[in-house]
Amino acid sequence: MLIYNTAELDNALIRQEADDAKDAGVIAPETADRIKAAHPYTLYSPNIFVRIGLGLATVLCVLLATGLFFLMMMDGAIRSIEVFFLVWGVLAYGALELWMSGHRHYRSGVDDGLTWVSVVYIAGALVALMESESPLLLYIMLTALAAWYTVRTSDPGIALCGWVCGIMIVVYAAILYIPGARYLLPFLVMGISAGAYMLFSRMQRNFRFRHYDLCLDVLRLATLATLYLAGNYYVVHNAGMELLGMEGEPPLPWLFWTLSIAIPPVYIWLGLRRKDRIPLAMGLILIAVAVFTIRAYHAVMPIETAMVLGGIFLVGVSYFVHRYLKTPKHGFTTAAMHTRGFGAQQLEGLIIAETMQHAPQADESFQFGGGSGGGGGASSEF
Amino acid sequence: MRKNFIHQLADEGLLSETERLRLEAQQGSRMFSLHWELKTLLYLGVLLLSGGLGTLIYKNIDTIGHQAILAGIGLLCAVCFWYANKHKAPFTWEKTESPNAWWDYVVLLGCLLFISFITYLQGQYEVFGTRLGSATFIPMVVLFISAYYFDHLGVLSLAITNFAAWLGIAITPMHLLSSNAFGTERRLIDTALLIGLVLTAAGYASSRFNRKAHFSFTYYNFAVHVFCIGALCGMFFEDGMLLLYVPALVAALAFYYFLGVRLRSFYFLLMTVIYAYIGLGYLVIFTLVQALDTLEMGVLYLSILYLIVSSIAMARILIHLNRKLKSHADL
Repeated sequence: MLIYNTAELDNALIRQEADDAKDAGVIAPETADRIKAAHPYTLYSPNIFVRIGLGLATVLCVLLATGLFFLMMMDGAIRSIEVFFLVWGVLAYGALELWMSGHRHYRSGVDDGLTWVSVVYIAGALVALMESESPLLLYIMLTALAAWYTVRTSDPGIALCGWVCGIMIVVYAAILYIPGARYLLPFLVMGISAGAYMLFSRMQRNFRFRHYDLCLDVLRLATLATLYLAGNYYVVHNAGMELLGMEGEPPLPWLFWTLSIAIPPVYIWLGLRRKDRIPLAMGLILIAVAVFTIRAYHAVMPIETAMVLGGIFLVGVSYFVHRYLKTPKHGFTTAAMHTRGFGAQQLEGLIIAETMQHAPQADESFQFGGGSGGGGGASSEF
Repeated sequence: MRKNFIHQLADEGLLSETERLRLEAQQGSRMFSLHWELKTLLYLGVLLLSGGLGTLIYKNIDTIGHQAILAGIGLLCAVCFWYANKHKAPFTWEKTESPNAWWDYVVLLGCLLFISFITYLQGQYEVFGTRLGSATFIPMVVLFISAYYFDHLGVLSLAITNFAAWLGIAITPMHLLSSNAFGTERRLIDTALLIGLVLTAAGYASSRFNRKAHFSFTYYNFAVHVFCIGALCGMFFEDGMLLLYVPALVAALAFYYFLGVRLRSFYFLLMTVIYAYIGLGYLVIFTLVQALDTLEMGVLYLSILYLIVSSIAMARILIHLNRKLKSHADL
């Protein structure tokens, strides 16, 4: 299924797991060495920086080659620019397949670059060609395209795009073919998302799909997100007005409010119970979304008070968890695992410098009183 | 380890019987780390708390609760520093390990609150005089002292960006290009070069004299971007100054190239390659455009050809450099 050499990818997984087992002290270092000697990994998978560099170089190369041919065949190309890009997208895809059969690359940047250039060219050409057709057909074609690419390359980004296009199929099909769709649509999307979540979770546990692990992680996050958003009051309210032309409050407001507030804790509970990072992370993100949903309709308190209280709450929760897990309990620990420390620390420092910088520039005059002070003005919009 | 792999490895005779049993037993009892989740919660909590308290001061400036809020912030800040000081490892010029993630963010919160507090005092009462751009100078000093005293990379990054802000430039990743009007004022470009030089010197001194040597990467990281972007902007925007800014860029690239080789840091090699690619590309296309009269449309074709050839060359150089440093995956 994959364009890559799967025997080599298996070797990579075995080597990784042997290292983990060695670090955990389950197998002897000599055993790990013997396992790695018996399962060599020879594909070219350079570090992230080379990958980015090679990816950029590949994308640039294809873009410029396209540009050069476009200039040379200016008259013909302008008249059928969609077909021009379609042809180039298919050519780039052909180059990808050829390259992977001849070269021993995996996630080297060259394959990522070719994948993305070709898929963007083809998708762009399809969108332009189908401008006058029904969006349903377009989304079906885009989903099929993304599915094909996902199966061949297991690229998580394309898998995500495929899921979004798939949801759009459901939305448009429901509006076109199901009478009373406007009332059913949220539940339809929620049902499909829940089904897809269970399907992807099962697939992830299946050994056969081991090379699609990251894809399935992303897809599970996406299904959880669409499941929540389809039941979120703000989304239902606004999508109802914009897409379906409904007016006023959506029917069953209490139900959507309950879903908006109750789903994130349920995800967190699910994640902790199953020791599964995906629902846990999504639950934490969605708590923030739930807070924004409430604030969009009810200004309970001024934003700075809400910020202070929220900050105290978050710091307090993490304090108690730290205290509680000082010695690991119930299989949970606060110690870092599987992270290379130095790069992560540097990145953390950069993020802190980026977001917590509130010192004014030297040449700005410093004024007090009446100012809106660092984002505090947002409350007046609601 | 996945069950199928355990079977496979056992069949191949690579696992002893005890190891196979231990691997199978391990499957059910995996530790689940909440490290990054908690870090994220703490980060968001501190972000909200410092932002919210900072806004509270200004919003309540004319009310009676104002003094109380100010006192509260001062108290909270004192508690943070007291706690951080109590639980920190003794000071050395070497790298010290932080007790845990919670402690890291207490230090950060203390520093942020302290800055809010003295910026307010300064703005309201001008406690520290009006010279030296003290609105940013004093926070900078506080941040640098805290960074070294508590050995905290996040505070150090804040201190460095504050240092640049004191000289009039934003150097955080998102604002380096968007907030500075490099094209309009030559002063800003030269300030960027100066900051790059100072930070490079600081990074060099850190490792040379072994004073918190692990801070040097942070200094170098800010320095290489500020300096190279400053020099490139000088090349792009200042007519007739190529003879000044090109040698500056070349010197910086040479320094960071050899630094990358010495530290075995692929990150710096990549940055020099990318900035060199941009600089060289500009020079080549600049020269081609000068010859517009004689070449006409040829300029466009030659430029595109140059870019194609040079991007392939860049890919080859990257692969070569990666091989040179071999298996170095981190920074």
